Amino acid sequence: MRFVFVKELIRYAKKNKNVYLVTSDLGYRAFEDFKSHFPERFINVGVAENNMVGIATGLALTGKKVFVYSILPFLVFRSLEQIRNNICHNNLDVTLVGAGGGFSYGPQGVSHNTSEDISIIRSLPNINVFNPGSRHEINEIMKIIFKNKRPSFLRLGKCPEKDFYKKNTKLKNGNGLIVCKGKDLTIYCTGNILENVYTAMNKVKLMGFSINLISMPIIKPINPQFVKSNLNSKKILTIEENSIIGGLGSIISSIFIKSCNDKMQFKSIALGDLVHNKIGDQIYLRDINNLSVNKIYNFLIKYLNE
Amino acid sequence: MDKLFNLSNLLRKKIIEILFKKKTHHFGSCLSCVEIIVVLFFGIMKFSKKNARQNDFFILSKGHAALIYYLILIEKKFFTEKYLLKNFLTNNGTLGGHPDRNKKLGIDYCSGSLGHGISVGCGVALSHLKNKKKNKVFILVGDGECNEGMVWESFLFAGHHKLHNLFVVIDYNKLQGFGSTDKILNLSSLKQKIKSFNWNVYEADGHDVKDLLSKSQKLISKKNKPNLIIANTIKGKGVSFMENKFESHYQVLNKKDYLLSLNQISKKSKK
Repeated sequence: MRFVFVKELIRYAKKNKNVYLVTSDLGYRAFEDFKSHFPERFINVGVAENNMVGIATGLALTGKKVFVYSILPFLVFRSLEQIRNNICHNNLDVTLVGAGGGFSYGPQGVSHNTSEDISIIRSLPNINVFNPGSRHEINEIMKIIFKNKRPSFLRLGKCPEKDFYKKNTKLKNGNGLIVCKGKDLTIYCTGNILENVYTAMNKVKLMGFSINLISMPIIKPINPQFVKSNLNSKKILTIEENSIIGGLGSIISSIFIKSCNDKMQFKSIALGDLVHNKIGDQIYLRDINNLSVNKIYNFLIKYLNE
Repeated sequence: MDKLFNLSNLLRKKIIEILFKKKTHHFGSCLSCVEIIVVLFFGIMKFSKKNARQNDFFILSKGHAALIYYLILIEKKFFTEKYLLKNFLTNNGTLGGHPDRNKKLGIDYCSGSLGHGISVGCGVALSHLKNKKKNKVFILVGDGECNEGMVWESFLFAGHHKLHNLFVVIDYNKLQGFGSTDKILNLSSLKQKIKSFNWNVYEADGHDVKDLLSKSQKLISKKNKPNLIIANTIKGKGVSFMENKFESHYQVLNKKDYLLSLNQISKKSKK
């Protein structure tokens, strides 16, 4: 997704001279184009994430629109205080771009993979939290970020080959996107796990079930009205490659808890509250955490037959 | 020069009065940087309420010395002493124990967590250079906070990028949370350390306004590298029983000590 991101960023930076890209020595084979177009506006601070966020703060305090880039956990966890005190507290126009997220870095290990980022970042004030799941979603999110003048967090994993929407499908800040409509079960999912959910869902549909699938690339803000008005079933399921604590499952359940009744059912698939240090590629790690196509499929069948 | 000297003494007295009234601490940290702040705001920086858009950028990185910052902003007519008394450390007030960003009050940046100031200042300085803006960035840093890794990340960055519009003063009172900096985490050869990061570095007597002013002016005229003054200071300066005592960071004055402090400061200001 970072190639889609960089392409859009270059297009926008041609129009807006205040756009700066700051990196902590990461983005090799991704940012060369930006650097050659705008050498004055590409700043590599070296391997120093805390200072990177400090520099971004100073640039934004003087009117720049800053994009800060690193491997996701280095940016979010190492510089959490800088993000909180400087960027969010002062409501600055800084977008934190984290490469990876979930098990994107596969066998590189627990230092590079994340399960907690979305939960932590969304609790900070003023920040918009974006977790795109397709090329179209990231394009729509970039439009929102270019328009906004406030802190944003953007989680960039791998981009699925397939896109799930018609070209002109618009994404409004706070809303999600309807992938398909159905009556037996409503699924809310976020991020590029959408690809697996979509494939599993199609298998389930072949068995005669009718599924309502909604992708939520915007984790914050979330418009509760959008979530409620798109519920077409008694059964609800949330799916995310993020911790069970404080992610999409928490958000959706807190929306429905005010209006729930005996007939409603709610389940979540998310990452457990544990150290995710098993070694393997993303396909394997997703599988052992119930997020592979097969595991999602089995979960759906069981849930639909309850 | 007399003006700077007299203002320093006046502010020192006010620190004692207000911290006593508010029954709060951080005496030592405020008293050690009085002359530094006075010289920066009244001798070096472009900083006024009238032409606020043209102001240099100031960061109090050692945010716990907020009171002396507020007092200098009163002298710069951003607000009154009455406003300070009403808002400092009070419920629904605007002036906390550590400064929060507030352009109307003249506060450019929020601080309180140590180590951020130089880094943010680097960002502002870099932005000014890119925009060919002539304003400078001034940062007052404590010696204790030089333990922070982020401080050294920003020393590296500023030296590498030759941010000559960046001006840092370290309030080197040689005391921190649990005692002397030498014993807790030795900063020795501080001057050589920072010089080796490609900075212009001078040492000055942090309580001598003349020395501070002349060294600052010399540095500012150089325009080749980031600039730094190590201001040798005394924590609790001006009050005999607080001087060089790390406890002066935490001490809350009783009436007897309060009167004694005021007495000592007014005697010194007459000298």
